[in-house]
This record gives sequence, C-alpha cells and structure tokens, in this order.
Amino acid sequence: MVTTLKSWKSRHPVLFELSISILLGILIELALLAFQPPTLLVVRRVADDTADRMIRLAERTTDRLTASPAFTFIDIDDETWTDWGWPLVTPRGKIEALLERVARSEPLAILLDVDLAFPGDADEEATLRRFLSTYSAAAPPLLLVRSLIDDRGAALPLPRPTPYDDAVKGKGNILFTSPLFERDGDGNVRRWRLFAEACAEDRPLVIPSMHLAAAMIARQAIHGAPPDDPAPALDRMRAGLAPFLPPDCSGHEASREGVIDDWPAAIPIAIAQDDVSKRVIYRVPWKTGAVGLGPMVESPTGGETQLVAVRPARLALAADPAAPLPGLKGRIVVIGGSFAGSGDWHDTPIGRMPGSLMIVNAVEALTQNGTPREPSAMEQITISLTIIVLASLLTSFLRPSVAAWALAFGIFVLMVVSISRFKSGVMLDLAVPAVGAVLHDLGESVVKVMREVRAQGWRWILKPHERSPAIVAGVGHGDIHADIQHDVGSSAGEGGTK
Amino acid sequence: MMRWITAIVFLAAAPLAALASGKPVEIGYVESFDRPADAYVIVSDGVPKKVAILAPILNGDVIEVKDPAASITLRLVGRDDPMIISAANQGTPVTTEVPQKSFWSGLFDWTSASVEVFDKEQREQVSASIRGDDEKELSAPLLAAPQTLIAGKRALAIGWASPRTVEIRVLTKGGKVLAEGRASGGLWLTPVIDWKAGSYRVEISAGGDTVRQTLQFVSPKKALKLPAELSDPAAPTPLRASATAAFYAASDPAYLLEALQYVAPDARTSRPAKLLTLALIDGKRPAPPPAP
Repeated sequence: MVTTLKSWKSRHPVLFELSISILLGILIELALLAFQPPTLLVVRRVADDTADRMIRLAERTTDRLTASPAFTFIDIDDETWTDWGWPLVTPRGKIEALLERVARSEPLAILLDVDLAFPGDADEEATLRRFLSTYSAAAPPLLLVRSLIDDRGAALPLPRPTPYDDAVKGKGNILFTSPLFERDGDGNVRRWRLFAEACAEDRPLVIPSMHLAAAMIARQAIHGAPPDDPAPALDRMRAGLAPFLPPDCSGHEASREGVIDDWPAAIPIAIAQDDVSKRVIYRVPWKTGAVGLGPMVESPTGGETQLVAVRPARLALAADPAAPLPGLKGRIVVIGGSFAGSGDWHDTPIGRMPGSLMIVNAVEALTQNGTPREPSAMEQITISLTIIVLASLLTSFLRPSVAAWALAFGIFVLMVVSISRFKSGVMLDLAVPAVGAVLHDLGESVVKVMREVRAQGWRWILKPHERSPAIVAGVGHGDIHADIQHDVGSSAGEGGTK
Repeated sequence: MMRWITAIVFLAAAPLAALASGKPVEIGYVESFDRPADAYVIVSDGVPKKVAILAPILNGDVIEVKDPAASITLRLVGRDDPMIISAANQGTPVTTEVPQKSFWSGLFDWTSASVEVFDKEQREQVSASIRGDDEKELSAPLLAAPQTLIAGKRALAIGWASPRTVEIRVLTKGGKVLAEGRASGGLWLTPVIDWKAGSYRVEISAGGDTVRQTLQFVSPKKALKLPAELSDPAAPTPLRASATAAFYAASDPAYLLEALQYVAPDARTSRPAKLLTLALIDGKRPAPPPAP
C-alpha cells in the first residue's frame, strides 16, 4: 500500500499533493462539525459575519417584494415628543386618541409598541381603560406589549401587570404579546424569540411575540386560511403554541421543536434547535425623517407603496378627529417611538433602528419566508466539497497569500450567486466550509514552516536579507521556501549573518 | 457573447421597466394646510380627492388651490424639505423619484460599503442609572405635565423632589437661556423676569438625567378665574396666598406650578405654606371641587 502510494507520488506529484490536501480539508470539516454543539467561537463569528453580509446584500439588491403586507409606522418622533412636553411616560390620553383614530381607519392590525405597565396620569389611564373595555369585537386585532419581571428565585419570569388587564379580559381581538428579541455579545440584535414563557399565580404561560402574532394575521390575509382550518389567525396561533406550554412553573421546558404555522406549506413558522431558524432577515433600514422605507410592495388599496410608510404621531392627532386617518386601510399599523431618548434603539446588521422597526422587519420576514431554514443536506455537502476542492486547488498552485485572496473571492461569488435563495429564506451556512478552508490553508503553511525549520535549524528565526546574491542574480525560484534557503545559505558561506 | 450582453442589459433595465408599468406609486402625504379642506383638491388620475392631513400623494397627482391666499404642505420621499403648493405653483403634477435599486447597483454599493477605510466613531452617551429608583433618579412630579402660568413680571419658583443638586435652565421657545442656576434643597427661584404670554421651556438636570417641560404663560384674562372671596383684603395675606394656591392646584393639574408661586416665598416662615409647598413639589394636589 505504502509502496503503491510512493510510486503514485513519484509519477503524479501534483495530483498526490492535491488528493492529500482534499483529504485534509474533509477531515478538518468533519472535525468542525463534530464540535457542534458546542459551536466553536470562530465558527459562530464567521457564521454571523457571513449572514450579516448576506442580509446587507439582500437589502441593497431588493427593489420589490411580492406577497408582503404594507406597514404604516405612526412614529412618536422627536418633534412629537417635544410637542408633548418630553413626558417620562407616554401620555395615555395620546395613546387612546391614536388608537381610536387608527382603529377607525380599517387597518389590518394595530401593534402598540408601548409598555403600558408604567403608571400614567390617573385620568388618562381611566380614558384608555374605557377605550379598551369598549373595543368592538369587529375592530381590527390590537396587539399590546406585555413585559416580564425576572425573579431570581423563580425558574420562569412573571408577567408584569398593567392597569388594563381587566379591561381587555375576554376580548378575542386584543392580545398581550412579548416584544423580546435576543442581543448578541457584540451588541447586535440578530435573532428573535417567537414566544416567551412565564409563570403567573403558579400557572405556566406562553406569551406569543408581537411579530409572530402580526405575521399570523398578515399571512392569513395574504394567503387565506388553510383549507382544513378556517379559524381566525390568532386562534390558529394559540393552537400552534399550545404544545410549547411548559408543564409547570418549575422551569422544565416543554418540547422546543415543532411547527407553529404550516400554512403556506412552503414557508412554515417553526421552532427548531438550530441557530438559523431564529435569524431575522432584516430588509428595512432606518432613516430619520424619511417618508417611506424599504422596497416597493403592492398597496392594499391598489398601486404601489414603500414597505413602511412613516407618519409622525403629532400629525395623526392633528388630523380631523371625526374622520378615519387616510391611507391606513389594509395596512399593519405600528404605533411606537423613534425619539432619541426612548431607550428603544438597537444595533442590527443593517444599522441602528428603533424597536418598532425591528418588529416591522421581523413581521415582514416571518410573513415572506416563515422561519429561515438551511438548504438540503445534499446541497450543503456539495457546497462544502466544492469549497474544499477549490481551496485545495488554490493552495496547490498558488502562493498561500494569493490562494487566500482567491478563496475569499470564491466565497464572495458564492454569496452573490446564492442571494436569491437567501431572499427566499434559505440561509446557506458558509461558516464551516469557510473556517475549514482557512484552517486547511493554515495547516499547509504550518507544514511548510516545519520543513523549513528542519532544513535551517535555529537560523530559521532570522530574517532573510533582501540583497541576497541569489535574488539579485535573479535565480528565479517561484517558491518562497527555496528563496529563503538560498539566502541563508549564501550568508552562511560568507562567515555569518550580516 | 451577445446573449450575455442581452442578459446584463435586461437585468439592469428591470427596475426601470417596473417603474414604467404605469401603476400609481405612493410618494408622500399631506402634512398641513392653512385654509379649510375644501379650499384644495387633489386630482389623482383625473379623479378629484378630498384633502386631509396624512392623505397619500401618488406620483403624478395634481393639487388645485382654490383660495389665492392658501397653501398646502406636502412631504415627499427622497426630499428633506417639504413641498409647499399655493395658487402660484398649482397645477403641476407632483412627482419625485422613489429610490430604485437594481441588482448591479446594489451589488456595487454592498461591495464598496464592505471596504471601510476610515473609522466611524459610533459612540453615544449612556446613562448608568436605574429607571424608577427614587433615591437616585431625578424626580420632578410637579413638572410631570406641561404647566400653565400667568404672564407678568415676577421671580419664578421651581421645585423638584429628589435630594440632589441640580442644574436648572429656563429657556425661550427659540432656545435662548433666560435664567439658569445650580441648586439643591428642592426649590429654586429665578431672578425677576417679565414673562410674556407664550411658550418657555424648563430643564432640570442631574448627572445623566434631565427632566424637561413646557411652561405656557397666558395673559391674566385667559387664566383661571379666582373666586371673589380670595381677593378679600380683610383676610390675612399669607392665608389668602395659601388659599389661592390650593384653589389653583385643585382646579387643574396644569396649574400646579402656578400654585407653587403663591406659597413658595412663605415656605420658610409659614407652616401652612411649607406644607402646601412640599405637597405641590411632590405633585400632590387637593381634591378638585365638586361639580356644581
């Protein structure tokens, strides 16, 4: 066997080196995969970085979206906040007036991105309570924020009560939801939570996220109800979340994998253990003062509009109180704040944005793509093998530094080529093959250095002299290893290092 | 080769083709107008539409202004400044360019943005305080809502509830500082200023926390009417002042700061005035009088 290999090596040295290189690449890739979980830090960072780049590329190359809801962001901007006298707590009377006007304007759903748990003026609280308690069953779905209290002694957090809990009790079209996302160590928000677990009065609860509830409404409005389950969207969501209810408040989690919404079948919303399914594919960056944000979508009233229309809250309040607000029909309306002192600003892969726009991005991504998913196993293996073979070929024929640049260009081309699949929610995880290729490259370099050390001994640590006779004479070695050997050799012949 | 060129040209032209599809495109909204709504008409594809605040504007809409003195303000995509239409410039179709992204321009943008040469300083100040911690957080319940005060020449007393040294500034609406100082003890007086009717701002800062509020000065004619008995010269002046403060505070939460002006000067010498001053600084007010 060894003899056969030696014979093959002497007859086809390049092919032999290439085969060894490919084998090394496959072994490195298998070793990396074996480390998952726990994921190696370098793999996680490369995965996040490549996904961030893909998100930015998708955002910059997406001009139009089909089958997407249109949004209106009623923005409590800096000017509105100043007009209101910089209150510490969003005035409940203003919230009531905004909700009343928006609800009258026939939107698809209303998302109030204001935590109502903070106490407001008693009279204004009473006004908002009255509005919520008389909210018609025929009015659009209204999603409110439920914040959580982390209790160190308890396994699950407590839902923070609000002065409006009794007013909305029993109303099918008003729902308290969680606005939670996950922030990474570098401060970027990349992943969502589709629900939050909590415990109230020794009873476990599952609180759906605001983006999940809104996406369920939008998906049903766009694709219709599933043929076998014509229930309202929020009822279907409650049924889909039931299997995720913890058995008790002791913190033992219920099964964390499963499908919440399988309609349409091509873009399900599912909970999975993998990291990819939690990624938010952001499409709308923030721009202060903009009238519209994001790509073009079909307007619910005909024609086209930008994905998010931004309207200052002060204008919504200044409009005719007896008439519906124009331009809201059929849209998802988000009432939130972009004023600088809100404390609700977050870093994302496409820049800083107010929390309300993060919710818009999450709703849009869930509606368009469902939860992101990885390509099929066969596709992943093919891509990994392609990258390994490419890396091996490059390192066999090019200098390591040139091979590294060429490989980076190859991965760049792969990202550009796969962008349309990425836009449809298929996230190609390039981290393992990319890290594998880098390690492979590193391994090749280490082998070369070892050979040099063996040949030169301690002199290897010395810097080769630039004006070596061999180089000046133009000996013409393509291999840096050979250059170093000549350089050191000539120096040694003249009696030592100069 | 020709096939490749054709494909590239097709890809580059795709967004333009979509733009030219003839579909109406929303490009902005009506921000404000200074005459009744029937002084204007939005003509959209030949069909007149009612004007309202936030009414959508479509690409190619024509605005008609019937009143020669009227004007209407629009906010459009891709423009930082508003567009104002009056009788002088009405009739021209409103158009603007909705930012279009082609694959190639997007790819170029993305590639060039990936090569960052210079450091972008992205620091911002953060407040390392816990929201709602009464002992540490700056608190001024007296200024929880915009306050109404009576115009005239006088020193203005301002109170806050935290036992912290604070920086106080009173500014005009345009940002000109009228009075400023550093104070502790929960109460501070401005110099005597001739307050004109209009809006002012007050800012109280300590550490990273700032409380801001609007002060609306109104002429005495437009202020709450005091009951006649409060002007009775037979009653002692400190008693009249306390009663006047209680009346203002009970009548309307917007008059809490005005109420403070009557009792704060006597807070060191009169026990009733001190009690009322502390209550007002804490944002507490007497129960409103029963409806007649």
